[in-house]
Amino acid sequence: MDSSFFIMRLQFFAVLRSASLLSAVVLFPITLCAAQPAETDAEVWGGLVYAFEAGDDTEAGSGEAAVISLGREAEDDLRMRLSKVFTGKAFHVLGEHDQGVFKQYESWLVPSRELFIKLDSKGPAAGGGVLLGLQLWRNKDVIMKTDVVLVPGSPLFIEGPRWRQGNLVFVVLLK
Amino acid sequence: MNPSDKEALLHRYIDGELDAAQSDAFERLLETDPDLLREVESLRVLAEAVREQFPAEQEPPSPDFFNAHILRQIEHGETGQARGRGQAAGQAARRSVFGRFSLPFVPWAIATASLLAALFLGLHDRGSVGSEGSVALSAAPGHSSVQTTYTPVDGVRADTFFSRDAGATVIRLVGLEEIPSDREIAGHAAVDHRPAEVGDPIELRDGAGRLLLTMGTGADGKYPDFFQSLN
Repeated sequence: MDSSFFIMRLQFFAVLRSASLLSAVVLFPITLCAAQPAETDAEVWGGLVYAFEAGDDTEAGSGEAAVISLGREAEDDLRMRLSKVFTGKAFHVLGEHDQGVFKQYESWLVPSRELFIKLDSKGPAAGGGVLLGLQLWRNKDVIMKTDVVLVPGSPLFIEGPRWRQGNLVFVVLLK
Repeated sequence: MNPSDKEALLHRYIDGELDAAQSDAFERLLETDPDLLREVESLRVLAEAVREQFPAEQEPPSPDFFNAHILRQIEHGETGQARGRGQAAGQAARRSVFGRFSLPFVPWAIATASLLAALFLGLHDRGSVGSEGSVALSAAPGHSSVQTTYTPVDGVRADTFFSRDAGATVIRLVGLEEIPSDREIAGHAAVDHRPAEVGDPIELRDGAGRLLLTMGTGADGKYPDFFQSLN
């Protein structure tokens, strides 16, 4: 009687240990996945551009140029588009930020501490676009809120404050 | 039945709020009152037009957008009240003239007509005008578009337009305070960061994984409370 009871106890603990191990194996990846943000809705590029009078040698060296991660062709295309809106200006990219926009998470485009953007995805839009809630921040203040539909190949230019002999322009585009 | 009773019954009838007996009684009244019948028909047409234009559910563009509108309406209301007190005598004189017509329906008809006019303008005027709390500002098929803008800072407005040449949508912020010339604006090239849990600092890194900037939260758990450059 005693030995059979002992064997039953051993079997019980063996089963319990297996169940615990199984739970750990199954639940750990689930927990890990839950801790990660949801999938990205979009890949957004944000650039802070200084637009100043073309030919102004004193301004040409202003700021600190960032590496353009868009590639030469996309950068040339961007400069061409900027020149159509801000005619007669030269453009100096002060900073850039390449950022995935996550569902239900706030994402930030921070090419500099001076001017940056908070993004909230509101889901996909027609034409491969994405609907975004966008807040433009200047230091600790929100200076504009907007809802935009970003579509690939169609940038958004936000003409911001004056600085030196020109203006800061925030460029947002969907990659 | 006095005009105000008729008006109340009319609205409840249009909205389908009368019970069967009341509805029958009102329909009998319509048979004897052609003016009232005309009012019913015109209101039905307007109500149907409004229902067709507005979706049953529509996501609000932004709470701040509505707040701005409400504040403006309050300001306009206060202005209107002040103006109204000064015009009270004139209104009293006019009331006697309007009183000869079916006055109870006039405010309803004016309100509905205004609503339809605003709706018409909202749907068709999507040009280059922008301001605090604007809606549907720039839209070109196949291009990025701005649906609403709101500028919380006094004296700042957002003008929005679509540049066909550039294939770009532009928001021009007018009235912003200038950044002092002697301030250096240091930029960087940051790449994708994983969103942090609320309260965790956000770390911005470059393409090689080097930490560029840390953005923290305040006591309310909201960004950004501080920035810290680490290189």
